[in-house]
Order: sequence, then structure tokens, then C-alpha cells
Amino acid sequence: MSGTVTGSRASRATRSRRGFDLTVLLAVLLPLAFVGLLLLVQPDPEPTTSARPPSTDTLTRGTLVCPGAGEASLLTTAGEASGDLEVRVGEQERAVPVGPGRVRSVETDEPVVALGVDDLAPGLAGTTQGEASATVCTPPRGEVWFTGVGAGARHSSVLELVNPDAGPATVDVLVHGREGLVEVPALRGLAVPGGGRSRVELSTAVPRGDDLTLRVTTTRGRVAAHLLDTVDQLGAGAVSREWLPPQSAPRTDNLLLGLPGGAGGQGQRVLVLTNPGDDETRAALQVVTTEAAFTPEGVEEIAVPPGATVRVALNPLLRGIDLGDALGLRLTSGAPLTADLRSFIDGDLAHVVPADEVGSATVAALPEGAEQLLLAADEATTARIEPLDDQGQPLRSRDVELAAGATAAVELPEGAVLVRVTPQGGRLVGAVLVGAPRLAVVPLLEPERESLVADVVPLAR
Amino acid sequence: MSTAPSSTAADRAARDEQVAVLLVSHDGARWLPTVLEGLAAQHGVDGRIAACVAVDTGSRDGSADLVRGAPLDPAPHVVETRGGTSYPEAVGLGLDHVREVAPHAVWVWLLHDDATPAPDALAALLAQAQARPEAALLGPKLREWPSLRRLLEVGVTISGTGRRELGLERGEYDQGQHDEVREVLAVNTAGLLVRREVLEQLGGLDPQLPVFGNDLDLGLRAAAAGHTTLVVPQAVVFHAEAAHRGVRRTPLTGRHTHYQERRAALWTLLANAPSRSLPLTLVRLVLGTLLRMLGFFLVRSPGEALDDLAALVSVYGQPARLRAARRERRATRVDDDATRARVRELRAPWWLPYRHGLDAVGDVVSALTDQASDVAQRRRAAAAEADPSSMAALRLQRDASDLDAVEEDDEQRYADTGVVARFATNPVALLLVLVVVAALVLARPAWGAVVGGALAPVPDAAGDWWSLLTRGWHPLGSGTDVPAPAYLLPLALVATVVGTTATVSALMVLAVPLSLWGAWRLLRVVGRFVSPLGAPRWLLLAGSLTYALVPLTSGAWGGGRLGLVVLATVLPWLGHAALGFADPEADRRWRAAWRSGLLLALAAAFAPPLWFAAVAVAVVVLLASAGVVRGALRDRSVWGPPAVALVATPVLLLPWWLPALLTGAGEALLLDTGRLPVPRVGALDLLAGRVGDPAAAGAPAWLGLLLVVLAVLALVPRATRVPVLICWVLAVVVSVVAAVLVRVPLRLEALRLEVEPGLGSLVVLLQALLVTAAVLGALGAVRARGSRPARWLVVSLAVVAAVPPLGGLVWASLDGGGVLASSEDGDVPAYMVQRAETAPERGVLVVRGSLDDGVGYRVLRGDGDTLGEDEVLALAAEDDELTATVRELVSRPTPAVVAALGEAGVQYVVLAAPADGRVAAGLDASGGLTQASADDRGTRAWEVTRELSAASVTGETPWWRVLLWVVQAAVLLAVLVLCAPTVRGRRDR
Repeated sequence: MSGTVTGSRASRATRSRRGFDLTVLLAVLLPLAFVGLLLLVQPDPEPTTSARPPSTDTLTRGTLVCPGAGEASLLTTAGEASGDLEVRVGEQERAVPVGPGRVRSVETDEPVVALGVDDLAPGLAGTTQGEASATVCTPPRGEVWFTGVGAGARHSSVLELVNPDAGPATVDVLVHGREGLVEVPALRGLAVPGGGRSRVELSTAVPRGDDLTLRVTTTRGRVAAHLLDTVDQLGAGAVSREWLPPQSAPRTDNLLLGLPGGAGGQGQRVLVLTNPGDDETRAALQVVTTEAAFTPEGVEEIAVPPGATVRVALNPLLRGIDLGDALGLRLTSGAPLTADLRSFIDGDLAHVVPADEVGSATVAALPEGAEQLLLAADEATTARIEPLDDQGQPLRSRDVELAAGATAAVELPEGAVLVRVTPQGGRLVGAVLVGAPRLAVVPLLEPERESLVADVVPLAR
Repeated sequence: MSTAPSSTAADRAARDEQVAVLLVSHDGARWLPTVLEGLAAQHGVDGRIAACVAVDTGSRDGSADLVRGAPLDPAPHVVETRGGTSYPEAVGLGLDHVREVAPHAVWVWLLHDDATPAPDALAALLAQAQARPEAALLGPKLREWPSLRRLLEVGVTISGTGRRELGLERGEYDQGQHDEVREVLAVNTAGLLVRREVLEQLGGLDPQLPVFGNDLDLGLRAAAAGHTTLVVPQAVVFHAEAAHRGVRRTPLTGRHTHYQERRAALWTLLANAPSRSLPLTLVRLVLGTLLRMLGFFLVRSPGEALDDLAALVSVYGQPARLRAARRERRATRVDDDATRARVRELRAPWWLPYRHGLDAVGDVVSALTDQASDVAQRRRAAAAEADPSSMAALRLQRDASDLDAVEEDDEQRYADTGVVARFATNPVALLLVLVVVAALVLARPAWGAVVGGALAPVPDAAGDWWSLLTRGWHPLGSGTDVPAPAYLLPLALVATVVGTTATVSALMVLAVPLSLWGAWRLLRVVGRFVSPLGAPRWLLLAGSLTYALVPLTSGAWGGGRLGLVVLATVLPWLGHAALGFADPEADRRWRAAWRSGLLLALAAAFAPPLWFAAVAVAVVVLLASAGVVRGALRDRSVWGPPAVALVATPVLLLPWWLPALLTGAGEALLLDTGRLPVPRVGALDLLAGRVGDPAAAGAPAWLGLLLVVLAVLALVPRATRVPVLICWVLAVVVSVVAAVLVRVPLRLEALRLEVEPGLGSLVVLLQALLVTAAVLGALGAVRARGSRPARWLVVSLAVVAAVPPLGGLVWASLDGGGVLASSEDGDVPAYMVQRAETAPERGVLVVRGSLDDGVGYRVLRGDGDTLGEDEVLALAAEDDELTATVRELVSRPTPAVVAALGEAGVQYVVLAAPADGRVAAGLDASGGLTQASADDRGTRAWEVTRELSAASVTGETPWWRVLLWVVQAAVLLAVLVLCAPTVRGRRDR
């Protein structure tokens, strides 16, 4: 075998051995240059797929649903525009003119679906009133909670689902009972026909005696859910019906604003709490007054097991405690809870649930018997209160200063059909207290004004 | 043969039959003296030559005077006529003279001015004429002049295609093997002894055949008239075939001898065809001509192809003359079955043309295999030939004897064993088979349908690819005029035969075996460049296996990077072709140019950035060689081939590259192919040979870095340092290209993404260079006669060198599948796809994401974004209008927005799981959308109930795009023809 390497290059390499060997130099330099050059290849880091938050824009289509079984739905707007709302009552469609400061009543015992388009979309607000007292009209929501509903003989509830759209909608209802989540297959995938309503008699669907909490999730389409609660004293007295307002989400700080019948009102008060989480939590009860909040002496924290609905009778708990000018209760817990304060005063049922905060001008169409506007704020805030009469004329407007954590009760003047509440420099929680004989606490709901506009990009795959 | 020749009166008469010699000359001064000498030297004819008539057709070189002064007996009668006189006319003229000067001459002996008879030629012919009185035409055996030894003709016949059939091998030597007097169809007019009566009866030679083929025609007519033609091999005539070889150009032959020959063949066939078979012959000759033309084009003889066509047009364009010629022939024809059968028998058998076709194919095949014999050996041989006393020559001799010794040794070892035993006792062959089987098994995920990572699913039929390729406007997304990627052309070509699924599957499955084969070939030749013995086979195996595993270990295979996988497969073949630039023969260098150009275009179609690297490498190599060999670049056949190869790529890819630039999709030229965006490649990836896909990361990086270490160590052996340095220089050039490319900012507008130019092709290229360097270094280390410790070092290094291929193989068997799967879950329910396939306006809008985190969308049409379409979409411009529509749709849909969707050709909206409830609620609420069923609970779907419009997605293909396609098809054909190897027949000439 020959080990000879041919080619002129090789022979040149041999020749240059005598003196300075270029190949050795190159053999050192080239790999270094190679690695050095490659190290220059530092591409920009891969773009991280960060969240692209949405922007906001004025609402162009606003929907408001008032539950049925009332006498009339009072529609108004917090916006600046006047015009005709497209209102559907049952199968009928009609145009209802609204404008700033004006309330229009739609007399019906059926659900009312109001649609505001373009200028009329922002600021849509309404209240429904009737035999079952008053409650607030709500837009369709993806998820709402109804705490402390009944499915028994004495205390039973009806879930009313209204689909404002033409297409069908589907709703899942989860039931939290005393022991935790109750399996009710019949309440999964409830279909609500397009433009129709479904009523779910809970005493039929989940016949049981304990207090329940419903989590109503819309899986398909849009649905506005309302809950009509009935307490029947079985011969002892009249049947009392009351709308149970929805809570938008469980929270760790639940403010129950309003004590129907007043702090000294005689009757039964029951607090119902639900812990949808997986861990037991304890809720501390405070009494909220116009000045501050205090923890009543001797009242222990309420333990709420995971998934369970807990019922606490307040009368024995607060016996002997001077509630003074108390306007509500506050529950603070380690884990999010939903809550309901059920009052049964003089045979009249009333529910108070934690309301959402309001950050901008809000209107409430006042039902008959509206007495007080209750306000609360976590931080010091001034609120401008403008009651208006049925001509749209302001009646005794005033500014209310709220200290941090304080509450206020504002008497509503006679003849007021509408109250406009404008928080200045903060957020507040509000409710309209309706006196006997239709005792109710109607939460103040901030109307929808804006819609989220998603950041949209084309995709590769 | 004859019995008692001298007894009868008839015999006596025959013995006294007179002969008239008829010599036709035209500018034959070169040959005439010899011809006349030969004529004068005829013996054994005893004054039977009645006359010598010479017809000179306007010679300007004094041919006529030469004849006039010739010492012939009897003295020649010279007839001078004008220059344009054809041979048949000249013969006719001569016959007239013969009639005058030798009215008793029975025979006429035709001679050409370039055909000289042997002294006994005429005597032999006459003797045979006497012995076989039925013979009317007698021809001699023609031998080549001036070699005098090779046989030219011993009688001729004509095949069904008009080919002149000689029944001889090419260049056959006359050793008396054909010395039998036979009846034949025709004999050449050079030296033809013909009965004057018969010649006159047949009307002489056909003036339609001025130079070529008139002998065949005469023979055919004579046979049809019942005359006998004999070839008399005892009579020898030496023929220069001046006209046929183009040595002599006359106004009659012109420049196109091939045209004349072909025309004569067609004329002869048609004029003499029996009436019954005439229609068939007419059709057959047209088809045959087309086939011949194709063949001529394939062997790069366009001139001959055009000659064929011209001949066909010329003959078919003169039906009146043809009819006249046929009428004349009918007059002399004997119409009986026996004669017809005889003519049939004398013609060439029917299968002969097919055998010639097979022979031609065989020629091409042998040329192809010849091509494979390597450039390194040819260079050495050329160097030795140029200077036989040089070191190169001496070395070549020594090496050849070394090689012989090795081969002899091998042969002796295996002399007694069969093929199976030889194979079984050859560890390298066994390992190779094992590796190939392992590679096929490892490619399991790619058997059948394969999809995943950067690899999109394939369409159902190759037709989809063809339409994507040829259309200038694609109904994809919002409709786009971005051209389809160029690599679809090879895919579509293959898929037309085997189907789309099998095409992609085959490319993936065969990637390792094919690159193994290619790398083996390349490394073998590279090894022989360095050492005449080449690299040992185990080294070739290790090197080519390391390279063949690059597609797998780099993560390209597992990541579905089809472009890079194909590039890795093609690259060694491209390298092998490019080595042809160093061939000593210019013609082979040009062939290498076209082959490299085609392969480079193929590789660049699958990985466009490779072309830029190739340009950089070529420039550096050319400049370096200009520096080393002064004046090397002055020769066009040195710098031309690489330049052609480089230019061929953009020219071949023009229908893709040019529209890409014009439609604002120029990024495509710098991006790797596959579903975009592809992962970025960093410094470590380039060093370790990984393509940087986090989902399919490839083999551990240290395996790749080990190869770099080996390539650095390859610089140590002095013997091979220079070739290893060349590899390193190229690697540095490639890394410069990488460092430059990475700084080019690219943005995919349609996806709003900043991307990096594709460096995947450079990763593969660097791996190839590093493997080559390591193999060369190992070759130097092995071939060096070192001390014992040095040998141990080599052995231990060899063990280390075995780690990259073996490690790669082990890794691939454990974790090579990557993200490939047989199918991909789509967001779109099957029924929507079925609908979408029916019309372009039935698009499906797929929306993903949430209000809070942002929403992404895409529009699917037809069978979804299949291979090729995904790239078109990614490179298309963003449709701002559609983006705005989708923004409105997911945020606050109104009936107007839904109507706009219909306008944009969207029939379904799919909100991919997990669907944002708020978006879904909005869509549920909007008019014009009805809920549609989806595959799972998390996905939501709606159907647009507004009118759908295809207007926005359909468009016209501009004429210039069609033109580009036509041009590309022509260029591609031309390049294919130009890469075909040199055929032996042409080289011989």
C-alpha cells in the first residue's frame, strides 16, 4: 500500500516545510475564524407570545333583560342619546322611546328584552316591579350566582332563563347544597330556545330541603338568568315572593348593603354563604354603619366547608347586640364566597346580595315605594345624587361624601322616578331600599357602556 | 458454381460482353489520381472495356483535366457539364455518351471520383456476372479509404424506417468474414456493374435523389422489376465516402448532409412502397420522424432533429412528384407474388429499427455509467498524458500497479467463492445493509401519511399541486398572487406517478439511505483526489453514515422540515456533480455544469438560502484557484461551468422567484421552506449541526460538537492538511454567509412576525464540510506510516470518530420520531371541510384566543392548508379589511359584519377550543350567524347565512406568469438534455 498523497497542493505543502509553514497557521486560524464567525450568529430571541390585551370602544349593541312575573318594567338610559329601544315582550316587538332622565314603563308580566343599537346601546338600565317586589334588569351574562335558593315545600325557587337572541342557548346549572356540590344531571345543558324563556322549578328539579346555591353558566348563546324566590309558611301566613338578585362572582369581601325593615326590624334574618372553592374557609361577620364597620362582640367566624352552602340564622347570633344605624353586613373570608341575606319581615321576603361596584354615572329607575338610596365605598368617594321626577326634572340633587369603608343612606324625595348616581373620584356600591309592603333591596347596576375590542392578528396555523 | 464455362456459345458470348466505364467526378482532385491509377491497373479484362466515359460536373480543381490526361485504354471521353448536375443526371448524361461511343457495351461500370477499385475488381465482377447470368446488378465490397482495412459496405438494404442497413458492426475490419457472393437488395453505385439495358429500362437513377440513397432506390426498383442484385466481395473498391462525411460539400449536399440522407430515405421508402401499405408507411414515417427528433434533442443534436423535420416536410410537401415517381415505378414493376416476396425478403427484418433503438438506449446508459467513473482518476490520467515523464505519470503507474496488486489480492481471496459468500464475508457490505435496514425501520413514523411540525399535510391528488404551481392567483385565505413554492414542481412530478402521500413519505423514508449513498460516492471520489487508493471502505462507511444521519440528528426530520431533509439528500450528489468542474475534459466540465446547475436548483427550491451560500463558495473557490493557477480564469471552460451552474438556479426557479419578488413575498428567497415561522438557528445550533427546533431538538449537542473537534483534529496529519484546509476555508465562507444572513431583517406581514432568514440549509452544508474534513484527516492519519505510538493514537481516535455515527444511530432509534404523526387534529369539523372543497367561497374562518389575550384568525379553503399552500399564505400580505372584519366580529358583531364575512367568502366561523365565552356569546347574539355543530364541547361553530361571494378570493393568472412557466418548461428540458452524458458514438466521431 502506498501512503503517498498526490496532487500539487500536497507537494507544495511539503515544500513549504522548510521555512514558515503557512498550513499550520491556517490550521489554527481557520477553526478560530469559523467558531468566531458562528458566535456572531445570535438571532433575536424568539418573540414571546405575550398576551395582547383588548382595547375598549363604545358599545354598539346593548341588551337588557327584565324578568317576567312582574307588573311593569321601567326602562331608562344613563346615556346621552334619545331614541327608540327595540323591545320584545313575548312574541311582540315594539319600539320604546327612551332618553336621558326619562323612564318608560312597559306593562307586562312577561320578560322584557330591550335592545339598544348604536347611540342607544350604552347606558341601558331598567328595573322591574310587581307583586314579587322589584329587582334590577340585567344584561345577559356568562356566569351568575344565586345564593340561598330553596327547593323544598316551604322555600322554593324558580330559575327564569331568558334568551334574547334568535339562536338557541344552552345553560349549565351547578347546585351547591349543604354537603357540597349536588349532582343534578337534569340541570346540565338546559336548552333555552331562541327568543324564548325557560323556567326551572327547583323543587321539581332538585327536591330537597336545604338552602342551595346555583351557579348558572351559559355555555352557548346568551342568557339572562333571574331567580324568583318563594317562601310559603304553609297556612301560617301569606306566600311571599321576591326576586333574588344575581351575584356576578364569588369574592372574599362580600358587602351586603341594606337591612330590609331597618336595623331594628322585627323578623327573621338568615345569612346563606357558599364556598365554591376546594378548601374550607372562615368568614368574619361585621356590621356596617354609616360611620364604620364593627365586629359584634361574641360573634364567631363562620366556617364554610368546601363546596358547601352554609345557613346561619342571624337572630340568635346578633341577639342583644345594638345594631344602631347599621346599614348592612360585611363578610370577609380567606377564599371567595357568595352570600345572601334573606330577611323575612312581617311576612315579607327580601334578599340582599353583594352588588358590583359602580365606577361611572349610573341610573336606577325607581320602583314604587323606593325610600332610600344606600351607598358604600371602600375608599373615600364623593357621589352626586340626582333624583328626577317623571318629567325629567331634578329634585333635590346633592353630593354625598363617603369616608373609606363607610356607608350612607340618602332619602329619596317624593315623586322621584329615577335617580342618577355619579361617583366622583372613586367607586361605590349602591342599592335602592324599597319599603313595605313590597320590601326589597334593588342593587345599583352600572350600565354597560363599552365593549372590549380584541387585538386580532392573522395566524400561521 | 457454373458448369463447364467454356463449352457453350452463350458462355462465349458472355465472356465477350463489353463494359463501359462511367466515372462521375466533382472536385475530386484529392482522390482522382488514385482512382485513375486503379482504373488503369485493372487486369484480367482483356480489352473488354469498350469505353471510358467521364462526366465532370463543373469541377473547379481541374478534375476534368486530370481525367483527360489519364493513361487509360481506351482513352477517356470527358463530358463536362454545369456545376449543379446531380449524380443521377450525370449518370444519365454518361449513358447517352456510352450509347454513342460504345453502342455494343452490355455492361456499365459506375465509378465515383472518391472510389478506387482494386486491380482485380472489374475482373471479379465480370466473372461473377458470367457465372450468374441472372444477375443484372453486381456490386463490389467497399472498404474504407484511406485505412483500406475497414469494411464500409457489403451490399445494403433499407429498414422500415428508411435506415441504410449494412449488416456490419461499426468499424468492422475486413478479414474475409463476409466473402460470400449473396443476393442483396442493393449495392453502392461506387463500383456498381450494371447491365446497360436494365439501367435504361429502369430509367437510370432517380434524379430526385441527387447524392444519397439513389443506390438503394435503384436496387429496390430493380428487385421489384424482377432483377437480381449480387454483391461480389471478391471485387474490392476503396471508398472515401467524401460526400457522406461532409469532406466534400457541393451545392447538392449543401451543409446539411443529414437532411439529404434523411430526405433520400423517406423518398425511397414512399416512392417504392406498395400501394397497399402506403398509408401505413406515411403515418409511420411521420411518427418515426417525431421520435427520431426527440432522440436527437435528447443527445443534444438539435441540428439533426431539424434536418429530419425539414426532410419530412420536403418529401411530404411534393405529393405530385411523389405520385409521378410511383407511377414510373409501377411501369417497371413485375406484379407477381414471388417478386414481392423476394423484395420483402431482401429488405431488413421488421425488428431491426427496434434493435437500433435499444442499442441507442444502451449507449446512453453506458455513457451514464462511464460518467460515474471518477474525475480524480481522469485528472491523474490527463496529467500523465500531458507529460509522460512527469511525477504524476510515474506515480500513476506505480499507483496503478499498487491498485492492481490490491485488486488481485482481493480477487484471489474471493476467487473461489460465490456472490453470497463474498457478500457475507465482507463486513463493510454487511454493515451497510444493516444501516440501510435500520434507517428504513427508524423512519417508521414517515411510512404512509406523515405530518407535523413544519410539514403540512399533503393534498389528495397531485393535480392540486399542479394547479397551485401554474396558477397566478390562489383562492387561499383572502386570495393571493404570491407564487407557490418552487419545490412543488419536483414534488408534483413525482406525485403524478406515485401519489402525493407516497411522494412525501418516500422523501422522508429514503432520506437516510439516499444521502448515505450520495455521501459514499462523494467521499470516495474526494478520497481518491487525495490519494489514488482512495479512502478505506470502513472510513467511507463511518463518514457517509455520520452525514446520512444529519437529517435525523439535526432535528430536521423529526421537525418535519421536508426542505432540509431533501437538501441533505441532494447535497452530496450536488457535491459529486460539482467535482466535475475539475475534470480535465472541457466537455465533461460543461456536462458537470448543467448537472450541478440542475441539482443546485433542486436543492435551492427546497432550501433557497443555499443558493446564496453556493454563490459565496463559488466566488471564493474561483478567486482562490485564480490565485493558485495564474490565468486559470482566462479559459472560458474553466470559469464558465461554475457560473452556468449558479445562473441556472435563478433561471430555473424564475417562475417562482420573480413573482415572489414582484408580489412582495421576496422574503421567501431567504427563508427555509415548510410551515412558517420556522424556529431560529443560533450559534450553538450551527456549530453542533442542529436546526434549532425546540419541539424536535435533534440529537444531543455534544455529538455534534464532537464532529467539530474531529474536524479540527483532521488538520493534524500533514499529508492531507491542504484538502482539509480547503474544507475549513469553505466552512468559514459558509459561516460568513450565516453571519451576514442573520442580520437581514425579515418580516412576515401576514403573520405580523419578525423572522430570521433560514439558516437550516447552512447547518446541513456545514455538517457536510465537517464530515468531509474529518474523513480526509482520518485518511491522512491512516495512510501515514507513523511510529507505533502514533498508530495507537490513530486507533483511539478512530474509536472516538465512531461515536458520532453510532451515537446518532442510537439516539435516532430512541428519540428520532420528533413531532411527526400520521395525521393532525384540525379545528375544523369534517363536514365543513367537505363543503369547503366544493367551492372557493365556502371558506372557514378559524378564530383562536380570547378577548383578554388577543385573538388570532385564519381562513381555510378547500381541503385546508396543505403542503405548499401554507407557505403561500404565510408570505401573502395581510388582508387588513378581513382583520378589521374579524375584530368587529369577535368584539361586537353586527349583521353588517356578518354580511362582510359572506362577501369575503366565509361560510363558517369556528371558535377553536377553548372558546372564549364572551366572544361566543357575541356571535350567538349576532344576526346572520346560526350555530353549527362542532367536534367537541370546547369548540364553537357558526354558519354564515348571508350570501357568499367568491369575488374576493378569485383572480386571474397574468399572462406573464404563464409565459414564465412556458419558458421554465423549455429551459428545464434544455438543461435536462444538456446534463445528459456524452454518448459514445459522438465522441468517436
